[in-house]
Amino acid sequence: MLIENIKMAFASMAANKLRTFLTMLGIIIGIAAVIAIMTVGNSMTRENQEQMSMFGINVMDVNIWLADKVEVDENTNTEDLIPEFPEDMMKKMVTRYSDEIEAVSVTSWLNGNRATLPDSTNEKQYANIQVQGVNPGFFTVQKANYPIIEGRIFSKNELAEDDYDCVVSDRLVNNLFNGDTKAALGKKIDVSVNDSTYTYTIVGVYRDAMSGMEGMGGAALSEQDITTMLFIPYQNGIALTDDPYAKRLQSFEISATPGTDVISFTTELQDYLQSLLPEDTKYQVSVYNNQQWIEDSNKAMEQMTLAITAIGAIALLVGGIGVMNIMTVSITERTREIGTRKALGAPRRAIRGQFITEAVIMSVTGGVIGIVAGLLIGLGACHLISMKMYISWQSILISFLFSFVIGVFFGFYPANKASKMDPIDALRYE
Amino acid sequence: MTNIIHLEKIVKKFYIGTENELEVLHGIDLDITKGEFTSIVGESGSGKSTLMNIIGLLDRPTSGTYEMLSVDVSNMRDDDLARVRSRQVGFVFQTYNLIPRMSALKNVEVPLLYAGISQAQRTERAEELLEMVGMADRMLHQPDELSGGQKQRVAIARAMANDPAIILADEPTGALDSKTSRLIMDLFHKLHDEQGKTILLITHSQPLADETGRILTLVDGQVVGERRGTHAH
Repeated sequence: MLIENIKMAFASMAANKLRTFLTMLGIIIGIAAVIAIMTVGNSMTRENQEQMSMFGINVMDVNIWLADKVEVDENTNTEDLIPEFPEDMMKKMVTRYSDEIEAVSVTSWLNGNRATLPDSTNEKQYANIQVQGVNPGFFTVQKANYPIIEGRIFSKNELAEDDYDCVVSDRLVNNLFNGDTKAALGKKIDVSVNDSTYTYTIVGVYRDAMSGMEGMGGAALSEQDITTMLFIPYQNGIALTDDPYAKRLQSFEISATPGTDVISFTTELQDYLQSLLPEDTKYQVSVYNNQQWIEDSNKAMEQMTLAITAIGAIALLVGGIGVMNIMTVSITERTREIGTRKALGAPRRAIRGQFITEAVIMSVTGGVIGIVAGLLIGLGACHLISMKMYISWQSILISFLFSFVIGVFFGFYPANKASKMDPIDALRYE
Repeated sequence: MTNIIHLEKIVKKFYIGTENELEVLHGIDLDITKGEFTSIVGESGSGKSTLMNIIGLLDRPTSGTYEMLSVDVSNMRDDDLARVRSRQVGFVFQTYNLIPRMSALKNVEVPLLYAGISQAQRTERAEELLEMVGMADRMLHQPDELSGGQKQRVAIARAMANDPAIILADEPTGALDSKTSRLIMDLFHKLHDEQGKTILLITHSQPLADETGRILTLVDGQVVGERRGTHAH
């Protein structure tokens, strides 16, 4: 019966092509508008999120502090009070939150200032640097600021104290290797760290996005003198320093897996890390995120969604009324057919089913056309503002279901009216 | 003989409870037995359409008893009436009432569809019926591609679809020329003679009525005469 109804619906739609199309137009416009806006909105949001993550919207700072209540007297060795994360804490945390944590970044600062080629006598051939010991996770958390363009980052088994490898900026390559990043790989350079000079092998080059920016210390200096970061393996960095603060791990950064609710995860993580410390600990763990940014971006998205919902709802309401209107007309026109069907033994539900099916087929067909049209418009719009298009599958599914529901809802009244027609009057109808 | 139709003191009033109350049928008694070819003759306004609607289960009597195949159908709910109509009554209308935009074949399938017959069986049965009425070569034509006589033959095939207990034909030749009318009447005779169909013909044409086995004359909502026709068995 359903198959028959669907066939009849298509036949009746085909019999009045123009009218059917005009009726569907309401739904088509409604759905197309929603899909187009959703596609553009979704693409913008995704683009936004990518930009946000550059600025660290998914990055959390984890710190351990000495609580204020600790009393210090002259016998206290302050070095003993330097906070440090328990050794196994990181491992426990990463295991437990493997779904939420994308990467953990651990760093230590060293006093570096200049890098030169070994045995170079050319005094003008140098690069100003700052030296930081980092783990491989650093390059994931900071991928937006320090994207690797040549070579590689440190591998896990390269974290021994005597691994004198380094990742340098493209600016350093410009100064020491005439900008040939390929040639720079594997080359040795002398790096001054804590007043001593060590020889490092270049394993990777990152694109320096930060120091070239206006106001980041670059403007007043010549290209040559701009200071960039030089990264060495974390363990190696620790080995080279005598600073007790630098030797102890007091803070690290985490980047959350995309899609993680950073705000609630921050709270959860803080409670969890604190619980790993003994009850009577002197220390306190704090986890920070860029909450304001997250909230602002969420709010903007909510407002956009609301606006879209309103536009879509109005368009679809109008479309739905159009369907109801045309179904009423169609039923009036087909009064004799309804009477005949009743005379031939159609029960009420069969008549109702037939016309609801017709309304549903009409609005769903309109919905599908609208989805396709919306995607094309969205594609065009994204192309126009040179943005990558992300299809919102969710909105497609919702639109489809919505057009179905519209058919049922606005088809029900006319269909029910048809099913209640008196067969005698219906057969006599001219 | 089995009673297909048994009407007892059937009264039909319209505008019930108002001052303009109109009694159209005044206590009709009628029995139609299996295999009879009966006709009801009456002028317009005699109540023959109302009687036809009641017999065809499209309407209920205001009072009186109506038994079809010994089952009381006087007070059935709409959907139950639809079910009985689907199985036991075959309609042939003056205006054919084929469903537009559906092939002859699909039109004949409609009553089978409502009787819950499977698609394969529907097609088989419909083809068989169209062949019987001589429309085998136009099964896939749509109603607007058929002449009046062809449409009526399709309608007769449709009326036969569920092998009903009775075929109700309401002025079946009213819109046809005399030559085509002849063909249609011959078809009814064929159904009656060869398949033993019980047929009730409603007409205002005396000559057509005379061809049937039994003629009832309806005047002002009452059966005023009954005689045997030329086709009596």
